[in-house]
Amino acid sequence: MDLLDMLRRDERITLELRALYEKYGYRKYRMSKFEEYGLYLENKNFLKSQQIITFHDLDGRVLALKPDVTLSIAKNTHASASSSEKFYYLENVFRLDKRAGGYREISQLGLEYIGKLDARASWEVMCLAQQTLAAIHPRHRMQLSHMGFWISLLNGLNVDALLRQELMDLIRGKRLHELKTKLAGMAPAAEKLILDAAALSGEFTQTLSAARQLAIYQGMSDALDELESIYQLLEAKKWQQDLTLDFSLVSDSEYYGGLIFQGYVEGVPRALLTGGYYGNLLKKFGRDLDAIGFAVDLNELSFLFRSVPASDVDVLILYDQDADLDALLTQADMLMAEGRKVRLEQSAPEGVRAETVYHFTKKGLKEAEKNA
Amino acid sequence: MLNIALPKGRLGDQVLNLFSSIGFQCAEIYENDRRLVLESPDHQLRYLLVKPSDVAIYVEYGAADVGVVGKDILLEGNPDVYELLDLQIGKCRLAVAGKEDYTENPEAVLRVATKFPNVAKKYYSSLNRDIEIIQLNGSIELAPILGLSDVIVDIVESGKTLRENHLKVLSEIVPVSARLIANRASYLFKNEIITDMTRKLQEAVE
Repeated sequence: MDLLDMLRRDERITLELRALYEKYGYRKYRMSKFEEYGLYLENKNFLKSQQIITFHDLDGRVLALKPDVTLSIAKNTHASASSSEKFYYLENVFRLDKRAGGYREISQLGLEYIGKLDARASWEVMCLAQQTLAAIHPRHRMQLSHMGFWISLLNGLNVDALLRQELMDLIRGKRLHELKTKLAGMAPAAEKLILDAAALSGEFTQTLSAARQLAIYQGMSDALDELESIYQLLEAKKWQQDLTLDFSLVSDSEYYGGLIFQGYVEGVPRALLTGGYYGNLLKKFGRDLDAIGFAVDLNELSFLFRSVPASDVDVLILYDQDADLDALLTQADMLMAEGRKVRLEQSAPEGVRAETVYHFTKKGLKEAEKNA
Repeated sequence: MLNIALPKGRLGDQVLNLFSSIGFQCAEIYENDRRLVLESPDHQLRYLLVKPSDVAIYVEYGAADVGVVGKDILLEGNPDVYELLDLQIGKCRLAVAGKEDYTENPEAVLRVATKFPNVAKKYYSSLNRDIEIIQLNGSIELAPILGLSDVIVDIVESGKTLRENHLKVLSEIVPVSARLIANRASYLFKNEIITDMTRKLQEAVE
């Protein structure tokens, strides 16, 4: 039996992806399940949910079961301006999940690139994100956006933090009809600018040139320049056809200040892969560095791979109490040497489905009648 | 094939008429038939008629690509979907109502009976008011009459039911109407038909 054949689809994909990341020079990062709770307290704006499982260690320190891996990597990185670091990880994180009605253990496969990064580095991460989706499903799409575009626009219009949060919620939900109501009272030009920007969505080059028309601040143009340079590199590698530029993709977290993206595959109703540029987080840890990465929620693969194997074992041998055990084991060894999964029992265990059932008696092996 | 989740009942009928008026037909079959799944003659569309409060769940989980649902359901469930359009039909409001002679005691915890606990909690927390939620699934109007609650938070259309039960609207929380929603993944994979549908619906309701 080929060892790889034994693996479930999702296990196999995980291994393929690890090989892909290794090929691009990423090293596996292994970490403890626990982290100082203080880390999350100080950086709570980075996390989607403030709910964290905590406990006291023997020395009284408050520890947490990791709700996130990126924070720990960003805190511990040895990267510098002249020496970048590339990691990938396969870790379980613990998060409150509205759908599960409580905490859930989520298996995450992710990748981080930290250092002084150029467009090529962003392109590399985008490329790997694309290949990650492709390994999971042939029909996949990547949604791209840039937080720098929004931050520059809203700063330019002097939108305060409270209103900004409300606007982001409306933009994320493409609730343009409600956004229009919320903006009523603003100067008509500003209102139109935000509404037009929120509606920017579609094929990359068309949407980019529509966005150019709205870029009245330098930061907006800079963001679009960056998107364009990454796009040109992706185009050269023919990865561009699965891209959508969509400025309704916005991040809650104040640490995502640049490029952000989400990956979808057909058959999974929500984003499977999320990622982006989080240099602001590194700056918060006192390092003037860039960082970009993404993570895949492997639990979501269960939407795709639901099929149950047709049988649990290939052969079930039911033997009599007084059967010749030596001969039985010899028979079983022969079958196993042929690569079959064999189970020996005196009576058929409940719920175990076998392709073939044999009876082993003094007379030897005899196939049981079907539907017996 | 585009799957469209619609609420069963009067709003669903209105929406089917609206959809067929812009070329997404199915109305004829609907009038002769009470099945829960209906296909358009060209098999490009499939309408799923589900319980109104379940529409958003069908869409969030991708069992339907798009759906039409009241804003009240969206506010209560807060599903992770795109809300593409206000269809301007099924208009009503979420409101606080109480007995005609009701006066609030500001020193007591307010007991609120409702089908919309999240909406009620959010509304009263914005007023800094302590409340106790009494979650009911129907005949909400009975609660203040029987003294089960001080007030109710519920959908009010014409106000007729309230008047018949000697209740009145005390304050309005938010206006409600039917919204077109879309699953996030479907919006990417079936973008052409969904944006086309949204544009046509927008022209029709304006």
